[in-house]
Amino acid sequence: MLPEDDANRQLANGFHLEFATRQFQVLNVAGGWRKVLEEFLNTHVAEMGRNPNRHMILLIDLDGQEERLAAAVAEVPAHLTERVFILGVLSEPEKLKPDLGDYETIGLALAKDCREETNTTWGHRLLQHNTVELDRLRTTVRPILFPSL
Amino acid sequence: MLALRKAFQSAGQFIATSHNAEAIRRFSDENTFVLYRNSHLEPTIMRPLKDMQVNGDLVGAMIRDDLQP
Repeated sequence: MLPEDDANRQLANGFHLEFATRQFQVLNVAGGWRKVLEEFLNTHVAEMGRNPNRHMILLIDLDGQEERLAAAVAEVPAHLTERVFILGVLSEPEKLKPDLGDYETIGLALAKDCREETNTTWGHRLLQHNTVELDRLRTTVRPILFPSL
Repeated sequence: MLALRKAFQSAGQFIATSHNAEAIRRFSDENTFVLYRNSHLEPTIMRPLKDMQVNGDLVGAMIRDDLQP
């Protein structure tokens, strides 16, 4: 999981805590949604080419621009679309805190939703636009992260 | 590190001290304490990270000595 900034890194930590497997790694923050894409394209595309089992989740802020998600998805090379997922808060993670608690708590709840196939937290108004990507993510990654289910 | 944290989630308490960037990044603002002392002769000060103003990368701020309680 490649987070845009420190808030997203903490969300990712919480997400990781739910299953805590070494198969999942939270990478260093990229420092902006554009830099997430740059780092992905410059570094991870080639690495994913060498490792056909690797999947990437790019965690970006949409800063109120929902169309950014489609724009980011469009930059993923066609041969990797099935292994790359782009998720993001409609505004920024800070805006989730009043409703959902601290970042780790939110990340844990998001992972729990993935495990239990619920939408309790992903259904939040600032997260619900991720539905399409989330459905793909669940189908592909759930058996890897939660093999006992 | 996350596996250790997970193991202590339901019971007990897990405390780690580290300068290691990867270890530090596996925690968040609410469960990180910063230990700091001005010199070897002065007592160590401990403050929750969530009460400190850190802009951007925490490890970077620590390396630059910009993380002072």
